[in-house]
Formats: sequence, structure tokens, C-alpha cells
Amino acid sequence: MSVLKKYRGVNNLTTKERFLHHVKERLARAPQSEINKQLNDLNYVRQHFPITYNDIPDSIDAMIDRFTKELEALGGVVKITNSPADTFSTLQELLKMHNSKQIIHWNDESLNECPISSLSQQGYHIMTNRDNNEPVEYKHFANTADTGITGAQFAIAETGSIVVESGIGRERIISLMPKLHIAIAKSNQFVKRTADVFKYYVDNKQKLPSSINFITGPSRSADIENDLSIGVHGPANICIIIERVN
Amino acid sequence: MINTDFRKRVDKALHDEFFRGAVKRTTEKLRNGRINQNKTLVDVQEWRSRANALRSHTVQNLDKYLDEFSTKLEENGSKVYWAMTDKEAVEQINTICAQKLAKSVVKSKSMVSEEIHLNHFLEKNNIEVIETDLGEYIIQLAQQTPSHIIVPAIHHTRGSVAELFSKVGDEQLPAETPALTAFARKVLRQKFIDAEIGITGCNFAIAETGSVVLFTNEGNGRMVNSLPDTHIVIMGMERILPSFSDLDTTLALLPRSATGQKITSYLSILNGPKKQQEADGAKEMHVIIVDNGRSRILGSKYQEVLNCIRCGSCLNVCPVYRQIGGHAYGWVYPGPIGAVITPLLDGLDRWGELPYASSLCAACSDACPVRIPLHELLLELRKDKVKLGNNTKEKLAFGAYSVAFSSPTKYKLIKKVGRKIQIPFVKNGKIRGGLPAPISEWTRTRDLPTLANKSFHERFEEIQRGE
Repeated sequence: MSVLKKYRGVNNLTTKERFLHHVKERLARAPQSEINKQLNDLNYVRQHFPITYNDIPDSIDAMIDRFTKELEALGGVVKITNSPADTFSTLQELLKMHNSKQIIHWNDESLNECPISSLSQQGYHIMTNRDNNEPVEYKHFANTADTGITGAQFAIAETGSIVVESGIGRERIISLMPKLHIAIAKSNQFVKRTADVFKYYVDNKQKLPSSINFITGPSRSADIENDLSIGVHGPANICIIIERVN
Repeated sequence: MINTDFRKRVDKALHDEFFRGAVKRTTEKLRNGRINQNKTLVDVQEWRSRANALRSHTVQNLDKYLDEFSTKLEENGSKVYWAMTDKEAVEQINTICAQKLAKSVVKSKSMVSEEIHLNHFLEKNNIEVIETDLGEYIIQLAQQTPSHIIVPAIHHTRGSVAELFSKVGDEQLPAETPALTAFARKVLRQKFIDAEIGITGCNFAIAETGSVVLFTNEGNGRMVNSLPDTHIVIMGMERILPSFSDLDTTLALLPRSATGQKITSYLSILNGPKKQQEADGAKEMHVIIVDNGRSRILGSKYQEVLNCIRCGSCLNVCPVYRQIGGHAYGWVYPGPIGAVITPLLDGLDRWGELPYASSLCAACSDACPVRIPLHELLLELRKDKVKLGNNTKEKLAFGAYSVAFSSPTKYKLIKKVGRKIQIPFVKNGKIRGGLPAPISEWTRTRDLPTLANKSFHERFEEIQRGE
């Protein structure tokens, strides 16, 4: 009778409850060793298995140096500027150098000091998500654009990565579909290592953006006879402009 | 998939010279990449210990973390599905595709989707499924399965890829990597734009925030979750990590162990469908949490194998994988991890040979970033296999061995007889076959040394006598 009752009980569970009940039952078979008991506590794991991080100096200059070294080793380009005006002219140089024609860019206040939209007066074909475009048209434009310009949330010294968050005006495809990705980062956005970024997101877990991308160098593949191919789906060229701010 | 003859698969691999060279070159490159990049950590052993403890902690609390993860996913606006079996997972995905009237699906790499033969079932429903990882695209066109977890198309040449792509494009493409890559970019770009549904795997799932984490290099994973309106994530239920703070541990180890990179080109964290007024990103996110045999491993002596982060580094150091490559293992996961996990997920009765495809040298355990004792688990599987029976030849061999070694007299007698019997079979000082089972089991793939004219015992006695 009790077996039947139990059986009926399990049958009344939702699929989720049944799935988790099954997992729990299976796990309960394991012998309760001392080490298993200790490992049950996540704080024990974090405290008793410490990690030593590489030393990176506190100064912004040292972090920028490290970032540059890491990204250049992957084929990325780093430009350092000292003012918004300097950033804008560096941006224009990069566009000329890459023979850019069609540009899609973030519509975000972090880029307000850099009047990208004004470049249309110089003959560039420019689009941004300012006018609530038709999504289809917008995607089509991004697909045919040769250049995407974004800001960044963080720059990570140890790996040469930038972190971009998606949002309104900060579309994911801007840093993805064009062959050239230019990102503008500020010196006060630098952190030493990935752990610092994860700590930020743990502290701000209530208001996460829909997606976060760590971008490190160009798109790459070695799937054909180990030949390194750059730009297989994403950008083949990535340039980071680092603007020094006080 | 039906388990065809393991030996036939091995023989096929051993007779393919290009393949063996390619496997050797690739595994060596990946292995050296891992060793060199591990040096950029202060002490990789610390990270491995932490990763081992962290993954063990998570797996032994899997029910709690899955509960937390799925609750958060739903709060974030995603839909969660629970699949106990491969069949259930396929049905759930089929239902979503039918609701969306999907004609075309783009996929980025997912090993679980290989487990459940997803492409096969979707194609049966007249849905076009496109693998968009370059290597996966190549093997899809060749109608093959991956031969390596990280580099699925090791067994292809520039020439064979050019042939496959030329057929698709209806134009003659040169056997040059830049041209082939450019072709794939062009063809697949349109597929990303046209597809109604994108399917990705999941490297890690963060319980605390309900986030799905993907490590990719080409950018196809990002396309798949950015362009189609519906995104389906298919994940093995053990992919969980407690929090973002724990992601740093696996981030330090997965790219280093897989490809020798500090970090992959893209690390994507997805926290649910796109928000209102965002112009791209999937409008709907569906997450399929798959058991498919994993719960059988929970609570058993094999539980640690669920700590695996699918880096493939055990393949690259395995003397057996390096000779026979991935297809010989017959199912989805090759190498030492495959030899352990295939019998556990799909049945030891069907895959009983796999635990024997190992020299037990422990190079795999040594390479494993989360310290799974793979060679010990292989031994345990052999024990379990013996309990299943069907091992007459092995029993015969060890029976004979135990008789021969049970007393000095028997041992000496058998040696004497053996020296006479072996004479017709010896060629150039080696026995190369012609003997019955169980000796033929040995000589099938290697030479058997002959019994020496004088044994160590006899020589030692001679020396002692001062001869």
C-alpha cells in the first residue's frame, strides 16, 4: 500500500519535480565520506583551495601596457589617445586605413563625445539604432556594413579582452557582423583580470544585461588542417582605442 | 547508433596514413599549447585542485543547483524543459520547431545534440539544419561524426574540404584555407540571417543568475544567439556552476586545456531573451536540460566523471587515441573520456571493448584540468565488464597463466614444452601469428616475443655455479 502511495505521489509531481527527485535519489546512494561532507560546503571549497593570481601592477599605465601586449600578440591593434578630440581623429584615421564605407555603431551615451554620426557628411554610409529601425532592415545593414563601432564596459589587462554588454542602442551584431570592429574604451574602465569583472557581476546580479561578451582578438579557427584562419564568422580586424581620462 | 565492430573501426583508422599523421600533428600541437599556456598561471596545480573541488561540490549538490538555475532562468523570461531521455529532448525541440513553423535551424557546436542525434530527427521533419562551426560544417557535408571534441574535422584535408565546398557552391574552389574559410563565411552568413531558430550547447550554466555561458572562437555561437528569433540551448544537466565567481576557475582552465589559449576569442554570457526594444538577440530562449543516462552515474563510483568540462586534453595525450583517432571509439565522445563515459551513458554491454582501449598509463588523468582519475575509472569498468561475463578468451588466458605460475615445477615444465611448440611459428626471432586463441588475441596487433633458449632462472643458476 505504501509503495503504491509513493508511486502515485511521484506520478503527481511536475516533470521538474520528478527530474530533480530522481537526481536527488541517485545522489543519495553515494557513501558519505569525510571529504564529501567537507566539499558539500561551497565556502570550504573556496577557502581551502586558494588560488594565487599573477601580479599586475596597480598603475593604469602598466595595465594598458599589458593589455596592448596581449592583444597585439593575437593580431589586434591598440591606439592610445589623450582626449575625445584625439579619439575622434584616431577613429577617422583607422576608418581611412581600412577603407571603411558603411558603418554601424552603438547609439549610447558612452560614445557621446565622439560624433560618429557626423561622419556621414564625409561620405560614410552610417546607421545606428536611433530611429527604431525595422529589425530586418537593421540586420541587413549590419550584414553589409564593413565597420562596427562600439564602446566597452571593461578592458581586462591580463588577457587583452574588452567586455561589451548588449542593450538598447548597443546591439550585439555591431561587434560581430562587420569585418572590422573598433571599440572605444576609457582608461578608467581597466581592470587587472577576469576575476574582477566576475566580481562586478556578482555584486550587480540583480541588473544584468541580456548578454555580456568578452571579446579577445579577432574571430579565429584552426579547423582546416590546423591552418589559422582569421575572420571566419566574426570580425577579422579588431582595433581598440584607449582614451586616457583623469 | 549501432555498435559496429570495434576492431574493424580500429583497423580502418590504422590503415589511413593521412589520418594518422593529421591526428599526431593536431594532438601534439594542442598538447604543447596546453603545457605552454599553463605556465602563464602562477601554479596550475592550485587551479586544478580548486576546479576539482568545485566541480565535485557542484555535482554532489546537483539537485539544488538545478533547482536554483531553472528558477532563475524562468525569472529571466526563459522557458525550461526537462529531458530524462534522448527521445524526450528530441521531442521537446521538435515541438518548439513546429510551433515556430521553422524551416531552417542554425546550430553551433553541441556534443549533447550529437548524443541525441538531433540533426537526423529534425531533417526527418523536413527542417534544414546547418552546423555553423567550420569543422562541424565540414563533417556535416561529409555526413560524418566528429573525430575530436575540439577539432571535429581533423581527418579532412584542404583538398577534401575544397571538394565538399565546391559541390555546395557549384563552383570550383581552390584547396587553400583562406578561400575555403571565405566561402564558409559567405554561405553560412546567409543561413544565420534566414534561420528561424538557433541552437547552441552550453559550456557552463550559472545557478545563481540563470546564465548560459559559451566559449567560442569563430563567432558562430554569437550569431546563433543574436540573429534568429528563437534560441534553444541544449545542455547536459551537469554543466552547472554555482556562481560567476566560480566561472573564473573554469575560464582559466578550459581554453588553456582545449586549445592552448588564455581565453577564447568570445566568452558569451546569456542572461535570458533580449529585453524589450533591443534590436537584436533572440526574443525567446528555451533551455533543454538533458539527463540521458547521466543520473545513472550519480551516486556511483564513477560520479567524478561528471566533473568533466569537455576540453579534450585527455585525447591529446592518449597513446591509444593518438594511434586510432576518434571514429574508432564509435560513439560521440572519443579518447579516454569517451572510453569511460560511452559505456556509462550508453551501456557497458554494448561498449565493453572501450575500457580496454587504454594502456592505463594515466597520461589522461595527469592532463585532466579537473583531475578526473580516468585510468582508475577505466580499471573499474573492466572489473564491471568481467562481472557481465562473455569473456571466455580472457578467462582462458588468465586460467592458463594462473596454472603456469602456481608452482616452480609447472612453470619450468610449461616453458620447456613452450620452447618446442613455438619453433614452427618463430619468424625473425618473433612470433607473428598462427597460434590459436588466446595467443592470437595478442598477435593480431603486435608481435609476441619468443621464449628465450635459457630463462633467467637457468642463467642465474649457471652464474652462481661459476660457469
